Amino acid sequence: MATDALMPATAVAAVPDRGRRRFVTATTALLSAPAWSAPSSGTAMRAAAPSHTTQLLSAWAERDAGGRLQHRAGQVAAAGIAVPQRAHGISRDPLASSAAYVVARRPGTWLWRIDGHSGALLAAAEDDAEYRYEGHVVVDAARHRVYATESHVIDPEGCVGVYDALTLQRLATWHSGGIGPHELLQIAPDVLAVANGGILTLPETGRVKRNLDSMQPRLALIDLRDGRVLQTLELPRPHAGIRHLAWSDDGTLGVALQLEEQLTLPLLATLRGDALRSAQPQRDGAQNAVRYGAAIAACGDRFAVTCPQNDCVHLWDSAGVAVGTVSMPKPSGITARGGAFIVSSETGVVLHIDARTLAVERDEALSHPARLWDNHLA
Amino acid sequence: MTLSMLRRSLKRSLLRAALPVPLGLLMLGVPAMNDARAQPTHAPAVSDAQFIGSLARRFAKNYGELQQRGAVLRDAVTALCAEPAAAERLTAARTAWRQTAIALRYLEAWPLGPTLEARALPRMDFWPTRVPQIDAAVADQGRGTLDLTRVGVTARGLPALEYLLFDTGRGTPALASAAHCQYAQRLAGEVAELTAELQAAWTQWSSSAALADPEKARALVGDTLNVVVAALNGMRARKLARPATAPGQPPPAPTWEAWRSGATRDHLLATLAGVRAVLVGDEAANSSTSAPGLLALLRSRGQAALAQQLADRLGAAEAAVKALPPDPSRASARAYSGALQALAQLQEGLAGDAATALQVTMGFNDSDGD
Repeated sequence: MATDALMPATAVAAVPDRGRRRFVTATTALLSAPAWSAPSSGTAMRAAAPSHTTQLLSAWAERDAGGRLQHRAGQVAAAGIAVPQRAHGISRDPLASSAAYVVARRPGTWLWRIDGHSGALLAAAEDDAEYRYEGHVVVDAARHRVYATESHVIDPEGCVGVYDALTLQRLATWHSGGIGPHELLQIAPDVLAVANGGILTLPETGRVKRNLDSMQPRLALIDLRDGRVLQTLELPRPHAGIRHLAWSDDGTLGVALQLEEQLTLPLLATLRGDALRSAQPQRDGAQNAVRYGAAIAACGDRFAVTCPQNDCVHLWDSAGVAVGTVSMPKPSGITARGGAFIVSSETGVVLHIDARTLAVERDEALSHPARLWDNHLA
Repeated sequence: MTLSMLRRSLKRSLLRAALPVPLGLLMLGVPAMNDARAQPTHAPAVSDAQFIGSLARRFAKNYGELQQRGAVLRDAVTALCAEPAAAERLTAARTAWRQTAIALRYLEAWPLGPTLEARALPRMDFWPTRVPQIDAAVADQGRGTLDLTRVGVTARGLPALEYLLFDTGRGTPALASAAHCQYAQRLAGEVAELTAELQAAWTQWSSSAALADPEKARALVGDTLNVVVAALNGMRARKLARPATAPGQPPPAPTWEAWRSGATRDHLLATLAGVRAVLVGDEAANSSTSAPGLLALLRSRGQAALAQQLADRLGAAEAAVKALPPDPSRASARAYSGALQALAQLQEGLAGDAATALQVTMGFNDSDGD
């Protein structure tokens, strides 16, 4: 098994056992739970999911009556709200039934709280030229806060902007623990995980990657009580950018990668205990030439990563064992409901993939040929 | 990054010869337009290195002008603070500010090399400036507790200085208090210091052997297209299209860049003049000394029609911005939307067809993922 051990030292080895998994401790490190351990239920930090898929959220593009491409965001079954530029991350507000937070694609200049159903704008963060948004937000329901990944106009180190969940007034700014923060996820009551892709971009040059020779992707764990960086974890292969995160029911953090070199590396790494490990390659070599993971979701103890440039979705279990690959044109956003992954596509199609059998079913109610679904589904 | 770090980063640039300074090039308004239609039937070959090298030398001259204007501004503010009630000194300081800001706006079109490395634009030109933070810094200055290294870019640089020199909202004459004056002097001193360092670094960089390296020149062509598009996008999306009160109508004055000094339109035109320098170069000169622009690079790659289209769009954008009143908040809806549209078309042509023709990856397109 060509699994790359990632720093710090490996703690867990995964052994497939007739389709089920058991875990063997390789060091005693695992015996003492890390400071950021989640509560016993791996789903504790997950916002209560809506029961109906019609409440799913996404950003998308569609042509208006004049044929011009318009960017919108909101519930996938509703008309949404027109946004000033292409949106990226979108998160439900767990405290209000149809409210959501949507943020501009990086380098972004706006962060909005919207009614995902009616398309009303509820609040907007102040346009702040000192910081630019890096594409994702997450809601801390207990503290009534929203965290957004950001970068400062001069300082290359990434930031986490802390906002009041209702007014979107900036409360604080923390270091993100690396350069180029992207997705973030609350993995315990007091711990935020931040995917720092390691790639430096500057306001003057937009999305041009300026440090590919020296990029240092880092997964950072941040103490939500004071913004302190508790721990950073790095990959041994610096050109594997850490970009997106998902949390499985058994308390494993799935990390979706984007490769900046011709690496043949699985697009998933996992963190459980104190060890970050590369997942197993797909059995059929399907990961060859696949370098771009657009989004990740967890369903039970399985992870799925969408690969729009290769028209497929790769699946693993939480131990990093490859489960299979599902072909699908231009998959983009992904989330999970009731034992299935729900995957949107740039072609407008929405599919359900059974997390166990990988059986695929088209969701006719949500598929919308006129819409180009963007990278994330929530 | 502190100023000492900035100095170190600037020193990393390679040293070479200095060039004469073209005073007057950046006076208000747009330089005489070169006629991009007057192209030879057979476009001369232009290499990436030729284009980048000549552009760097041209901009190095402009950094010389910026440095001179920065020094004049520093001295004018010092003179004003020696006699704050002297109206002619206030006028001189305001004139010096306007000329320094115009020079910087021109350079905004191509902020590569030492400027990008030092992050000089956001450091010297953060906008919109934050008035409460400036007032807080002035108050600290008055109490003798100001540590300038702890003041963010949001309360420093030329926009903050504009507030101190031009704002009349405080109900008192500009720089009436000693603390205002002292803070303004510190800001003007910083600007003078930074522009001097930039001038030295650009003199070195513009004549460095590295620019002749084909691979580096290729990368700089890509960066050039990206920063020009960024400058146009900044003008259009941030400066012109900031929250309008009604669809299609120009926003109210206080949301415009340089509204306090009344230089809003002049600033837009100065940036467009910088864009013209990048796109058109100096084609009026004879062929042996010609400084090819990006359009010449396109023509030499068999893209004469595209070059012509972009030249037309550049001319249209200049005309549309010139058609705005000096205070663009008073523009008609037609003039306002015309400027937005003309800038968008130029941006679109550069980010689309020009990028494709030059095989440049754009950092400002909507088609890639994240």
